Amino acid sequence: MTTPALEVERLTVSYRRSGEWACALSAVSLAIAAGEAYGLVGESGCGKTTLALSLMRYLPPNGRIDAGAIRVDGHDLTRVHGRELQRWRGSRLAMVYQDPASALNPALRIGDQIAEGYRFHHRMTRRDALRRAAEALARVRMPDPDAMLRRYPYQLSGGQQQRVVIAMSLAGNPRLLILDEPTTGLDVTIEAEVLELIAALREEIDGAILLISHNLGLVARMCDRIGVMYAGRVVEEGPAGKVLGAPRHPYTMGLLRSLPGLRSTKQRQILEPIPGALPFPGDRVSGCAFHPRCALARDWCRMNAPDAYAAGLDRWSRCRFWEEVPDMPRRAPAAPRLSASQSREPLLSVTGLRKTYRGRGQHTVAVHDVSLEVMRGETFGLVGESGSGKTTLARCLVGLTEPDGGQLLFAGKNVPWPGRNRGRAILQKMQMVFQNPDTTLNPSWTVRSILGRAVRVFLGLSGGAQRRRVTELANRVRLEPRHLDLRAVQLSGGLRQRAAIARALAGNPVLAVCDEPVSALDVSVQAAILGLLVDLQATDAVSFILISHDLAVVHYLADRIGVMYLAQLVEIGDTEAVFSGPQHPYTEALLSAIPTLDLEPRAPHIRLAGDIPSLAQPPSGCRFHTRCPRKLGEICEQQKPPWQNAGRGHLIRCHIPPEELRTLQHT
Amino acid sequence: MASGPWGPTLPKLQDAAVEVTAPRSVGRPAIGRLARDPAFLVGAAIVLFWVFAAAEWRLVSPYDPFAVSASQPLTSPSRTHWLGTDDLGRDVFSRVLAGAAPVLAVAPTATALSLVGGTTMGLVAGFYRGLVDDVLMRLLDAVMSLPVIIPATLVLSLTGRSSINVILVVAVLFSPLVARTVRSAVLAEREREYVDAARMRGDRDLFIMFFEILPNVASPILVEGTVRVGYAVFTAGTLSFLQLGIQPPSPDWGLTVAVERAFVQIAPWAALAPAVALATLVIGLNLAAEGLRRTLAE
Repeated sequence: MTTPALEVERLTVSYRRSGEWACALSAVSLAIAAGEAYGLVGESGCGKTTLALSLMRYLPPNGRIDAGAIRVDGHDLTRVHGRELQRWRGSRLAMVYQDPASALNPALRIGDQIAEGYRFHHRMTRRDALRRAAEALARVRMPDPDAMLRRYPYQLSGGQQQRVVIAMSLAGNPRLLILDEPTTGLDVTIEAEVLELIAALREEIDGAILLISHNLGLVARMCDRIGVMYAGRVVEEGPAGKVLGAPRHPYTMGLLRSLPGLRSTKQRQILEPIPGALPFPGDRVSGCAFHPRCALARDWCRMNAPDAYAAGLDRWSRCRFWEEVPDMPRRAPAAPRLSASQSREPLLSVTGLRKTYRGRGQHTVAVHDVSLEVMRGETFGLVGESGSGKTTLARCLVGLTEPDGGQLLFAGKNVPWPGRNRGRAILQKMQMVFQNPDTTLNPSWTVRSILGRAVRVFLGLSGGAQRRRVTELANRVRLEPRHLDLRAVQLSGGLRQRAAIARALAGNPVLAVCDEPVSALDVSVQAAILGLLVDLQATDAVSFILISHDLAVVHYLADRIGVMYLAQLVEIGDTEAVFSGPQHPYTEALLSAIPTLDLEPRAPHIRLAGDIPSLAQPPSGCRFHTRCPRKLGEICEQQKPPWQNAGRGHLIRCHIPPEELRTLQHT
Repeated sequence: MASGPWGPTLPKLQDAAVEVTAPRSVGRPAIGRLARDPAFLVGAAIVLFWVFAAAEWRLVSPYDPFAVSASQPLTSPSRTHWLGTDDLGRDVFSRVLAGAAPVLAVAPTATALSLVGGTTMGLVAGFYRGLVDDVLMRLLDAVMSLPVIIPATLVLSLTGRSSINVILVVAVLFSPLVARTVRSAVLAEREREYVDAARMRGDRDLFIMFFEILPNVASPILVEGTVRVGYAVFTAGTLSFLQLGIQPPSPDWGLTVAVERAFVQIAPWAALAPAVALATLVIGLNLAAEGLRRTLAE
């Protein structure tokens, strides 16, 4: 057998935290052949990024490699230092980071940034290096590379920036290319484009590729083999399709069960979060690190650290009982849930909502004449890429942002837009769950005082009645009493989001606007929060407006959805109708762009040309015409498309009639 | 609805029960880290020394700092008078110890007042932004555009020379600087989602400013306060050197330097000792402020 391009052998890494060394990676071994793509998945804190940093020898000053070897083409990188290490990094090791905007120097032209590698490592003249930089840009399919060389990073879109970073990383023909969450900050359609590029470039890269991601679907599509990490160890490894199709480790199984599939709904599937949380680095768990959260755990697991057991051809699992994983007991009854009772009585209706942000010299219309209705007891999903106006729309609805025009009817009454004019009775009935678990709770207040304040303001309760209500709220969102006396820093992301949901529920609202409630959470925690939202809707008949860029989450939770593109709604209808088609060409592209776990072959991917246009100068006619793969011709550029009815309240804003869209999309 | 057949009967998931609290080392309070910061420890020791001197100089000073002795003016440092005597034969060491009292009464009081005023202005400007912010900050800019000493001299010449007036003048002149720091912290804080949550509760602006935002900008205010005390000591020293503050025969350091500098050729110790004392106090305060800032920034 030939030497693999990358071989990691029993790598152990620790970090020093407040004077103590805590183990972050323990005896991680893996090998990647030249030309092979290896995917590393796991939740935050499992050690993925630590591994990447160790491979690049970029560990922070409080990190150290305790033991093990990192061999690239047989050379042990743990023994390389100083200038030699610098030469390795620039030429044979390359890394693409999560955020392209911070990976590029904003003060330097693109050309000079790419050329730097050639000048430093290959001693080229500036002229030659720039020529090579243009070639590198052409290689990553950048249109007009020569013009690009003279631009600054801020003049590029996120997708283009990431392509520049990839071009830089390929400059030295690396033997090891590490992609650390390369598309996490990008929009779905842009992500698809970058992934396609990486897939196409794989032929040209003869080194090892290590792709790190929390997104199982993405890894499944991009990689030959994957490794699943848990608490600083690789717990399962094997061919991508097999590991995700038939997991042989309880943790992998748990991850898959907590993920809503693209076609699953709250009526059909109950998400099963993995109980418990990741151990912190440095926590010593006896035996198997996963046993406290494992449904298959038994005494043996508590006493013995499992070896890697061969679990079929080319794959192994760090679970002695891997044969039982396919029949791992489910924790919740698999019986289908009945749909929450909803009526066709509108709870909230918006007409002609418009919000303009006035800047110097230019006005940006962030929400352009949006009209929609939300029924009692239903979940209305709002999807769209960043900058499509979802969040502005939500903030207008709850009264945090004042729009320029439009009408709001809530529970049959006309309601003024600014929140301060609404009065407590209406504020209480319409609450919001925010996106960022880090800032949603006041860091100086305990959960008890946050909930207490809401209860006091909305229900006028104090003393014992207030205390009882707070306990009851905590109970409803499954917070334990001991969590009530903690502050936000002492709580994990999932617990903070629970507290935020409890705060929103304090005054028994009839509508809760949830702005990306789970996007900052790990898969297993996300499952728990989604489950909680479903339960609350069933018991309290709350309506939700769910804003998300994650179509699987929207499909799972929403009864109806609206799709936004560049400040406008382009499609609205029942979730099933929208997902099964006919669809607006933008919705179609969004759906096709999601890397899914479904391993059966799917319709060819639709790739959107170009980047998302600026909101300050929206395209004329149909706003989507600049990127639309189904563009008819001049009519799309000149005339605003009409709303066309595709049946049963399913409306599509497109010049193409729905029947024609259906035939186009089903062939 | 509430009677959803599976809602109430669904077995309680135990996920929250085991979801552990966050990994941050929040168990280790800031005070513990502060106690191990060398800069802070050295600074705090110096400051404590002067605070002790200011409070207890009557007990510890070897001579009465006000006792004039016509027989031994301007004697050099010796075993009996460690730092020599001044032009009136008073013991310089005792006067330096006692001189800590007036400055340590003026500077912290002035700083505390400037913190109250500056924090209020900073909260209002940062919270409301827009016109309120523009008008308020331009006014404060106008105050700050003059070197502190100019308005201070003018005001003290008009209102009379006393410690109280020094306190008020320093407080007024320092509050714009505090306001700036607080404003920038508030600008960042007001965009956080918990502020939106308070708005959605219908809470009043004053409640949001003082109960939601203020606790979260406490650490920059605390740091600003310690830094300001140093400058206040410095400014108060300057003003008494210009004889605009406390009057003789007070052993105040700035005043003493002003009076004794006439004899600096023959008896440098009389002017040098209070100057060095002033310098050590300022350095001590700055070291403590730096340590505090570092600890709170972590």
